[in-house]
Amino acid sequence: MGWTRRALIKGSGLALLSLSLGGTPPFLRRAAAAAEPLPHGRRKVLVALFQRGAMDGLMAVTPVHDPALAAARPNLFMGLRQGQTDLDGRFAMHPAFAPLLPLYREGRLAVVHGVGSVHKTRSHFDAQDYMEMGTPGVKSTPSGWLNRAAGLLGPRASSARMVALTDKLPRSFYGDRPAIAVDDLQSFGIRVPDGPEASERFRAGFASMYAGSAKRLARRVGKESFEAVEVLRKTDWSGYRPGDGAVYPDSALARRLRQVAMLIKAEVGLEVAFTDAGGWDTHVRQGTAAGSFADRAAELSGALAAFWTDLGPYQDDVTVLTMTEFGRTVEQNGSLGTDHGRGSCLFVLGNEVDGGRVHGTVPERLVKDALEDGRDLPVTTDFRSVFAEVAGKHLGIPRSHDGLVFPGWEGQRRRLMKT
Amino acid sequence: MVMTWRLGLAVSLFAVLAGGSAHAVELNLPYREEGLSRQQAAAHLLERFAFGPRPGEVERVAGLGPAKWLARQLTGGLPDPGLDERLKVFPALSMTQAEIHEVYVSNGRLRRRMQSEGVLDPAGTSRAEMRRKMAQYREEHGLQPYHRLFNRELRGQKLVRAVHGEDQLAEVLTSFWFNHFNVTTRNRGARSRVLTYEREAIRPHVLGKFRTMLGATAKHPAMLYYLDNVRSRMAPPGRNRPVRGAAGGGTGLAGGMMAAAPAERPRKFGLNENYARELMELHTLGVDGGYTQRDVTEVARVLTGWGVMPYGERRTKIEQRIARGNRNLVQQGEFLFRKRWHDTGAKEVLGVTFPSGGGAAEGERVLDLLAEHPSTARFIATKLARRFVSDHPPEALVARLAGTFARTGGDLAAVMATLAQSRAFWAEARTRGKIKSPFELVASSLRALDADVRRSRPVMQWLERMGQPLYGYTPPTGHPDYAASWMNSGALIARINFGVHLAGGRIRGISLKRLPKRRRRDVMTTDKALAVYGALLLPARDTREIASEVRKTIPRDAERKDMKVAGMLLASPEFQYR
Repeated sequence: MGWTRRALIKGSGLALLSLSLGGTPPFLRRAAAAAEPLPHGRRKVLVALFQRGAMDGLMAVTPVHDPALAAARPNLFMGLRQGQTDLDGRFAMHPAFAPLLPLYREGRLAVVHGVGSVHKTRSHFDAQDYMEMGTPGVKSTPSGWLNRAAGLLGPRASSARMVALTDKLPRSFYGDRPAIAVDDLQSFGIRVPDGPEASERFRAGFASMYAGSAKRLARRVGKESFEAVEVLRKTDWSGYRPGDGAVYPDSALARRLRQVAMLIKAEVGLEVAFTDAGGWDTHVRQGTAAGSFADRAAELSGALAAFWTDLGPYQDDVTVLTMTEFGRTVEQNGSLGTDHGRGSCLFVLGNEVDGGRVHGTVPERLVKDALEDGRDLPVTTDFRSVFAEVAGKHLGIPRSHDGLVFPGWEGQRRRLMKT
Repeated sequence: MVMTWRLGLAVSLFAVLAGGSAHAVELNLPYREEGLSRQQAAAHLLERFAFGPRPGEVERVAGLGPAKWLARQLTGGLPDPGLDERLKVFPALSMTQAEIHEVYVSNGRLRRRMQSEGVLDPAGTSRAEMRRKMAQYREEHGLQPYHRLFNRELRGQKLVRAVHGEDQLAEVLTSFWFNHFNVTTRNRGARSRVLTYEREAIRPHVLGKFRTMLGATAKHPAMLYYLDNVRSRMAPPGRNRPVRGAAGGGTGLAGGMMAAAPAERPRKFGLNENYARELMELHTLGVDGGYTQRDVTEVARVLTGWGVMPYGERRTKIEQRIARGNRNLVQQGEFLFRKRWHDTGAKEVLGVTFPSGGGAAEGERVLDLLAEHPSTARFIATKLARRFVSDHPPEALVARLAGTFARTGGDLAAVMATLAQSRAFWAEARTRGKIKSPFELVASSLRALDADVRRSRPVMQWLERMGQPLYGYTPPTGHPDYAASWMNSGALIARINFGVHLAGGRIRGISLKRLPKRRRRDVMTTDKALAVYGALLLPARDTREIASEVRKTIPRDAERKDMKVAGMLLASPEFQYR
């Protein structure tokens, strides 16, 4: 045996793999993958997108006929004359979100306004953690709401059920179920400095080393990990072409959403995807039709619209849910920006979404008395009632299980989906 | 030496412990009874009571005698000029809290300061121009970017101490106790104070009395901010709008990373139970330690008025008021007791009555009660046993440790000595069931290959990927200390890649003396490299299984086999355990 193996190693590096793993070498596997049916088939996929830094919901979707808002923001208010696009006679959308407008008109995109947390913290970190853990005010929650939700999705889980396109595992994904964070699909897995062939060789070596470990945990997690690596490497990502002529803009978020689309179409068993985009903390020179807010909005809408087009026939399987930790002050501050507030808005995109509408409650006039703590857009919709509705309906989690996804929550889902 | 060895390795030494009391630490390490050689015992000690062995250290400790080495470590305070020299690059380590605040200034604070001085008008200045002006202002006033305080200095010093320091047990214990009394740089109020928190409330006390450390953490601003006690106050009559606990909503009025103070900040008066609860649940009694919700509320009432010296003008004003003889304010360093915020009514905590009219001393008495409580002895014993012995420590061991804790009045060095003298501790050397935390993995890798740490930032990014953002863990529970919490698919892939990258010379800021980047090609065969790096990374251990996988994976014609072999050993399942 030893002799045979040595001879093979000398002859071909790749032959080693077929021996030690009992599988086929990667180039053959890729060729086979193109012809054979993939193991997991199509699944419903929830795509969660976190806008970190707290998006100004009142600039994204503005109650344009409110003189109190106009007065509170002499340099930042945008009405229809400043370029906002009317949605329903009351609210209008920032022009940089234009790529999403057709989806709104077609009834696939919904806005929910006045969304936020029941916990009043205005700290980014606390609020993001609470939102991702799904337990406002409780810091000791060990797991994230998406991991708990994924735990309710039935037994045929792929090792790529939960994938975050982020540089580290997001809190939403913490928990018992296998979840992976990937910054780049092409480079996920064992990477050694000597190139892809050496990486393959080391991957096989480590898979075998962990499979033979005396430690039970190392064996189990090793198996899960190398399976995930396997699943993700089965497809030749480098040859990917977006569908339906979709053109992704050149941004980090667009590259990440493009990879989510790749995963969905590769049918690797993805059910919950997560990614995030920063830069929404607009304390200084927020801008109007142009400026830092507009840049972030254009990046988000351009990437999301391209993603949706790219999905093509897979659109029926996918719902996108955006979220941000809180909103911003109604009044502009002394640096032509806005400070940390409470309620903001979010977007839900999908063919099952009750779209083309602005859901939620925003006071008729944003006068001081109508504001939360006299300064902020009041939180009128608990984010959990939106998350539970969207994730629950789209992924098929019964209402009776909402308490498992959001421990301690006794609220009701807010109706946002058609079914 | 041989005599002592024959006598069952009993070494009797006097250790002077913090607090000035000298007492005998009688160390009798029963490793022979568990079938371990002196070498194996040394290796086990270095893996559990240090951040892993450095080259040749197993032999040195074995030569000195494991008991002698441990006695020195339990005394602590070893002279360490090499470390002192390395720590010079972190100026914040020798600054007071107020100096730190003066020097490390965020962009937001700098902008406001420049605005108020009339040297910057954000509304009428382009972003590029603003950046330039701010950089110039920093230069002229000797100011450092805020993030440097925690990204470079706080995190950097920890890595340097773990890799290069001689007081290894104290440093391991500092990690343990920091995690026990967790605070985080992700909390806005605590952020600038985490460095002094570790320096003053944790590190000096890890071999001293538990009560001293408990008191130091309770009064440190980092903890007072992190668990909201700064917001907890008695309501003046008629203005009571109670805020209860953190979960009820409405405790946080903190702004965020850059927020200016809100124009109108509604005042909240009321009790905040957050710290009182965690004090009992996480720091002392444990969740089943026998306290009630009523005790939580009562302890919160006792601690009303325990607050923090503010920064800047507000600090000056308070100092002036104290100088003028204001008796409602009592300052102790950065701790500030505000008598007018204190609930002076009668209270009852764990069955002990506190008559009305008490002040800051009530809090001290509550800390005494908690530190002396049998549940605390058990809770601390369990956590130490889990950290140093096994995920599921034997009940008899926990009972022994709790006994030492109670008998010695919470003498932490004595508890560690009891632990090291238990057979359960030595029995673990055979199974090696404790998984290394990512930080322990990193530190032990760098020690084994005799690393020189020049920059810590790249390593910190690896730590985040592996699941341990240093000083950045939000929950007050600290990281759970059992294997499953560190091991998941993403984290394991990151661990493996870390090992391969480190050995391949691909992590910036680090050079490895035992694995130099510049070296002639193929200086070693795979077998030679296995012998060399096996001895460094997995000393006194059977590596035959791993070696056979390594031989299968590394082709004969590969370049730099030393790097590849070391990478595979670092990434092996064996090296993930201690």
